[in-house]
Amino acid sequence: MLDYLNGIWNARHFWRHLAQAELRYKFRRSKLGIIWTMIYPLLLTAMMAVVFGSLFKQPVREFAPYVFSGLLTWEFLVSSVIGGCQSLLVSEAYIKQYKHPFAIYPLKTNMVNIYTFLLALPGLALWILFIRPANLLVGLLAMPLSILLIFMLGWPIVLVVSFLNLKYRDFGQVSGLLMQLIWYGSPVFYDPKMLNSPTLIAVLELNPVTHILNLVRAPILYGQFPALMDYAFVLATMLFFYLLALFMIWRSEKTLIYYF
Amino acid sequence: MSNYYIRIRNAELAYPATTYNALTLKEEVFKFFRIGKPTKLLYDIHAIKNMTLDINEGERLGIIGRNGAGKSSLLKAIAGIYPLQSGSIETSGKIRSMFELSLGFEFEASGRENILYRGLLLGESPESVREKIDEIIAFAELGEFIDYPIKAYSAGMLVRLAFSISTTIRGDILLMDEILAAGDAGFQVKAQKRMEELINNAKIIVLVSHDLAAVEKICNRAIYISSGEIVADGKASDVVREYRNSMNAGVVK
Repeated sequence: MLDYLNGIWNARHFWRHLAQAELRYKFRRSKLGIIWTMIYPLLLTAMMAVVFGSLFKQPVREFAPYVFSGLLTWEFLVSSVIGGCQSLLVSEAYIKQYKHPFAIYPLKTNMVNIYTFLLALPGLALWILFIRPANLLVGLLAMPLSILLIFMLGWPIVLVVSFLNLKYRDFGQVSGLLMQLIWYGSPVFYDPKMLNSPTLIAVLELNPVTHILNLVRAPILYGQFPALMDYAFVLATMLFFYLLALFMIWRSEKTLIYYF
Repeated sequence: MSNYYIRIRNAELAYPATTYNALTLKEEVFKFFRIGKPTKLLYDIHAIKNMTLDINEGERLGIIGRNGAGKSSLLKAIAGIYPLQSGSIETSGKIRSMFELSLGFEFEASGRENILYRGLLLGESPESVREKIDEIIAFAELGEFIDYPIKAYSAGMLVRLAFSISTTIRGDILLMDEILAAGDAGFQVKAQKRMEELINNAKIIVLVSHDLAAVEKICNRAIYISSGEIVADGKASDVVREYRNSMNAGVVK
């Protein structure tokens, strides 16, 4: 275990540079570059806020940042669960040349994901600055921890799905379906309060995604620190995925090379 | 006691058949419920069998044998890439493996950036790569192309770059799958000189090759492997002779 962590630390220059390379490549391909990453969720938000805002009869001014903050965080989860599937597969050439701990490749993917997440945050901050400037202070205080938790959560998730996808190549499709299902059961583009159903609200309370979303929403939208319950749920989810990740490393890291 | 060594004890390496048998979740589920036609089960491929081998400082070991005898598997096991089922491989010294050289480039990144990534992959620090980068570029003779993305390179240029990186970043234990030759006639002469230099500087060399003359020339010891077992071990010229004889006689276990 200590050896494994040591191996990750020793390879730090390597995965850091790989993440940089991937980001640079990602932004080099489009003319708008980084701007595009910031604009895309904004446009998507505008679309969804108008459609669902009128459907649920919500004022766009308030509803848009709600959808925006949801989409940002949701996109991070999607790129972890669906995008993360490819994490090991695309690193095959490296893996076959030099023995580094496999966990560094999910770590690299996770760094790219969190960076993309961070890039979209200023857009949200700007919006809030106009409608709720008072929230900015709490946001600045609470967000670092929220971001850290989201980052820490992403790593084991990517590791688990990339290990699974290497063994079962159709896992990608399954994870796509799974995320679609979770999407409907998560308050990304609707507010549980709009549902008028105590049972549904109770069910949503049990969905960890609700609490992950709250890590971002509570400080930015409502100017509050996330509730203890939110932290508890996120930490429990983290613990679950870290244990699962450790189990998979212990169980299959040794034979994984043969699945390429 | 020498500082550099490779110690292999009762090594067993098998490619698990599960990797060929069940590849999808769908198949796994179907198998569980016993639906769908049963597929023919494949068996583990036993690549290395109960092998014990010591390689010490100063030795240049050639590994010879027919295709599929387990030569490359052994090399990759020493490099730590293929795990053993049982037994152990202990090494002391920095290992430099030279196989699949042209793999593992970031095609969107420039040659210069790729030198850095490859160096870091091999366990160098950013500083030490930066020290060597000019030497690598000069040797690869890429000129202004070094700042172009790799995808713009010709096959020959890519091989030259790969060769230059892999031979500039040194190690104590050199693992080679076939002697490398790269590029056009002019470059090959340079490459050969570089290889000789590399071979002379390495503390231990393990070379897998079908080029028996090269094994005789470079190596001071050789092993002959057949179906994952060492058949002969000794002076390179003796082992090569034995291998040739068994090939001629058509006796292959």
